[in-house]
Amino acid sequence: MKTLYLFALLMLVSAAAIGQVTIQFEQYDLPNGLHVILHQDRSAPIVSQALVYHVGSKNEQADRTGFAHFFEHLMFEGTPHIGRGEFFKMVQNAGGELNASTSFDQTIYYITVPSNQLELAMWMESGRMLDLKIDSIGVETQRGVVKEERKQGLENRPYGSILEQTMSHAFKVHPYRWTPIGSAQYIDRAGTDEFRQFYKQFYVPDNACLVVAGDIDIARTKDLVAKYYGGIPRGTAPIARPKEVEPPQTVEVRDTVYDNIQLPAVILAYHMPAQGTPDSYALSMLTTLLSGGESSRLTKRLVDKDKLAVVVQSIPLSLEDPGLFLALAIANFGKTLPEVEKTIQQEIERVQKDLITEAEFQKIRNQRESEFIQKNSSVQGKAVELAMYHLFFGDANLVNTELARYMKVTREDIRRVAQQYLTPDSRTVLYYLPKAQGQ
Amino acid sequence: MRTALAMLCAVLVLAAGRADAQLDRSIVPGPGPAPATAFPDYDVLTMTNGLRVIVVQNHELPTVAIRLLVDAPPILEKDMAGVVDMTGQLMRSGTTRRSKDQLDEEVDRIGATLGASGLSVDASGLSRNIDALFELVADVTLRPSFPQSELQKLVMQTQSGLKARKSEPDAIVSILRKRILYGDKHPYGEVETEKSVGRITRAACQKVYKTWFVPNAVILAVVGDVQKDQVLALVKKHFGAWKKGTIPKPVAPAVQPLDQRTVALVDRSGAVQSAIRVGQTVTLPRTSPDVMPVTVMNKVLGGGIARLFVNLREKHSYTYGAYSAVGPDELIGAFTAQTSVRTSVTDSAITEILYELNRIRDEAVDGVELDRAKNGLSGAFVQSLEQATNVAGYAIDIERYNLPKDHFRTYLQRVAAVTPADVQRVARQYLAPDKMLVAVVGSGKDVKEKLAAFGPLRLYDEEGNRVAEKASAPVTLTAEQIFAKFIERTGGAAKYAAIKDRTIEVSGKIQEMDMKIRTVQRSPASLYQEVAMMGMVQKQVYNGTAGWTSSPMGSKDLTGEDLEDVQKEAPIESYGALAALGIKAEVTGRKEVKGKECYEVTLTTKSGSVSRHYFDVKDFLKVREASVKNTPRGPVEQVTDMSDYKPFGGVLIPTRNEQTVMGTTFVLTVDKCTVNGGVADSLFVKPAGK
Repeated sequence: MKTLYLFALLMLVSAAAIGQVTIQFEQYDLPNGLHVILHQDRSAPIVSQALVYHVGSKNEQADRTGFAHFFEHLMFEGTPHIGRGEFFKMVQNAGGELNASTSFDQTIYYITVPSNQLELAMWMESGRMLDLKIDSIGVETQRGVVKEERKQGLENRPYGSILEQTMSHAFKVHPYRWTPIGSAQYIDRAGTDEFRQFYKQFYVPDNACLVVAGDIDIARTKDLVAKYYGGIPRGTAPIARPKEVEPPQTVEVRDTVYDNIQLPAVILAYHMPAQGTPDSYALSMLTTLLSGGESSRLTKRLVDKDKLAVVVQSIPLSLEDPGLFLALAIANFGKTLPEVEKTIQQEIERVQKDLITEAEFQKIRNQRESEFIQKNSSVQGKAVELAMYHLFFGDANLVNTELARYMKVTREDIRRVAQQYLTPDSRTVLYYLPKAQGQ
Repeated sequence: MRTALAMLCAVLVLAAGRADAQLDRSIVPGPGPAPATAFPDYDVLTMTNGLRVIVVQNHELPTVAIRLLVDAPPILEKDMAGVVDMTGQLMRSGTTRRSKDQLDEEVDRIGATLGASGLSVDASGLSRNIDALFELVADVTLRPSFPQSELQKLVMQTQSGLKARKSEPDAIVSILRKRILYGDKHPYGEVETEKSVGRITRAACQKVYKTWFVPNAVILAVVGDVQKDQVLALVKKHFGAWKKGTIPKPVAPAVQPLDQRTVALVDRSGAVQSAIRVGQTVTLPRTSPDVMPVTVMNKVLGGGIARLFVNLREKHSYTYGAYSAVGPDELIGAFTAQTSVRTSVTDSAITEILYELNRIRDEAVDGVELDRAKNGLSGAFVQSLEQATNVAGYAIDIERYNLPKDHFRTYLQRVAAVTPADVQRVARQYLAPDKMLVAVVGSGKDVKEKLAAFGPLRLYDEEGNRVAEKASAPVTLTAEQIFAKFIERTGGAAKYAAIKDRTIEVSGKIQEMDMKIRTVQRSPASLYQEVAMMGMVQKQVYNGTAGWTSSPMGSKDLTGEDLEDVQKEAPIESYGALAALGIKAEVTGRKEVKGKECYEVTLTTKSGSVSRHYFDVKDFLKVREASVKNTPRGPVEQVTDMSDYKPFGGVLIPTRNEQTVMGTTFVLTVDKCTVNGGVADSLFVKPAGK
């Protein structure tokens, strides 16, 4: 027992030694509950402001799917001081760029500007947190835009519906059963007052994390944060979090989807524990073993050796609530899905049966380390990472130390999680087949 | 309760306004003093063998990226389109020192990446592994073994990818644009196809390699946590012995602009969106002083959230995005506007794009809008300098295109110098909305007529080949006359009438499973059909008045479309009985099916279900029958191709039936056909109960 502990400690030390580059930051809470993180990086005269709200598609009602994402579009419509369509222009005038994204668990807004325009970015972002203008013209316009976004990303794109289909088959109870893009019909039904209520409930300082990263002066930035965000009142409505617990899946779900594609695809989805749990790290390491790099097991076997697939990938869809471990492959021309599926299954069984070799283990650790070090090269990327680590792990410093959690995973852990989670009864198998001509 | 809550909220909002009252939010904060932007320093060195080395140091992260590329002009690949790209991939698939497995293993072992495609090799990893990375890049670059087995694998994978491309509207529309604007004789007009990739040989790849991979044509950029001396030592060690060669100078043919606006359409029936490109070629080498004004002009028009975006997305909500791009180029450049819109507004979207193209030519841009575009370009440039790999990209461009050494150091000044008059001048000089190509991939039946308004319209397939639109020959025959010819050709009415009963047994395999179907018809109009698969038997029966299905799970009455189907199929000669069943038949044109010119006859039942029957115009044999079934999954098309007609009891029946349903094709062949052998009455007795 003691030696094991010592071993873990040694690994932590060595991990710290590897991550020579430490992202320094300061963090504090405003009285209204807004969590603020400041990170100075003067390598370029730019600054990135990220504001992440702890609301995503899982906070939606089943008859209002797509609501959080739609609301993200409305956030660009304006405030009492920013006219319709002006939000984009102001940032561009300042030589900056902006964007936003909505996921299952969070909605991210960022504005990156030359560092002398930080105050403008703060004025804009805080302004729409305080007082967003929601009117019927904006709602109507964005309804049309979002419908085209759905078509472009999902309906008119080969394999575009994979995430939606996988989630809706694998989840029966939890709101992860729908995806952020949601269903167009529900947005048509939502009234302006519903958008206002959503705004009041979720778009409040105590449900968000603000990060300012880049070429900043810390003291001055603190003053600006207080000036623009300090006066925004706390939320008053309790924030609704989904209470649904997805019951364990005990019977395999299997279905076929016909899509406008040429090559069939297979998706295997297994339930996995929430992000941040030790097992989620082990499963993440397992995905590296299976499909990280050209020498990974699934890639070598299916793409290189057996030539069954053009691409194969395993992905940990690690989310705030328990998510999915996905394995998917697009079949090579002339190959059938049963043979592809069977071969993936064989590789999964191999991990379940035999411990991976020391050499392979060292390889995936190196890959993970390299990936961890290389991921944060832009201030914008760092800003978003810091906010996410704070919101979902309660520890922004994981931006520096999370690697240690991966390094704690043992060979035995990898075999154990493969046995525990990748079981046939708890999985969802989807076949994507080409639609007939003219269908 | 609800109103009470709403009132409470309203009160709170008012309170919120007060809490923030000390700050006057109507004041827009102005910018602080402009920060100094320094273009990072880097080194360029030329080795004795002509190899140019660029070193960009950046010590923020302990990482390194290596990019090795051949400074070659675009290469015409002719009937082996794709060979250059394949050469790179094959170089990465084995060297005289390492098999592909060994390369993969060594790369992953140090958590690195190594890729090659076309005439470039890229690697990245942690700087502490720089020796190993150099060794791998050098091995792939200097000692590729071009393994035949790997080539075959790559060809197969590429062909699969090309097949997949046929369902990607954006890929199809790009191909269309390239082929029409540049033509097949120009390197920019060449398109990889399954055929062209299939022709690629090992020798051809070796030839590309030998011709182009010479050190005096190569630029090697090393970026990241490295020292100049360290890089130089590694270059000498790994590339020092590389021998100089001669570099060919191919000449590409001149490209003629279109003489009028032309519409090209790829019909993708049922598409929910149209992918649109509006574009032309432009004569704009990278060294031209007009590059910056043109870049600013494009920024105003469609570079990001600009006029096209605001018009098509924010004003009309036609689309999720609409953009334009200008690519300066030494051979021939291009301008392209692009968007994807819902099918019903395809023509309106093109009208708006053309409106914006004309507006930027006809009206001077106002100062505020111009400043926005210029600030946007400057800001993006400054932001790009954050990444050392971008800096390396700029350094490479200077080397490749002989740009002034300070080309990017003066970028911000050059942006600032552009005036409204410059923008309008270059818009007029370079954009010709009346001579642009309008390329669309979308649902032909919905958009074709409206598109013709923009210019002469031509149809293309997914690989950009012209599809001849046959003016279908007028059909003078009626449906009844075609049916009569068919009956005549397959034996004649008397022979049909002589058949009192007929049993046809067919078999086939569906996804490796055996299937047998036995069909019994009894005059005048009874049908019994038995499908056996995986040990299960399903029956479908019509006794002249009622129809039902039965299986081990129980039986069920047939109604609606399903009943109409069995009624239609029950008679030995079915076409003569259509009128009595209230089925309308009409000739809907001539179409080519399986290489045969056919009459298309469309049958519509009382319930509105439609099927199409195709008869060879020469011999009147039926070649195909296609119908659409409504299923819980939505409408599903079922197509049956008939061939190998053989006589049984004096009447010809097709003994080979190829069925396609939902992308799966299977062949059913007739094993046995018995005519007038007698049929048990019990087959047509409805089971009791349920």
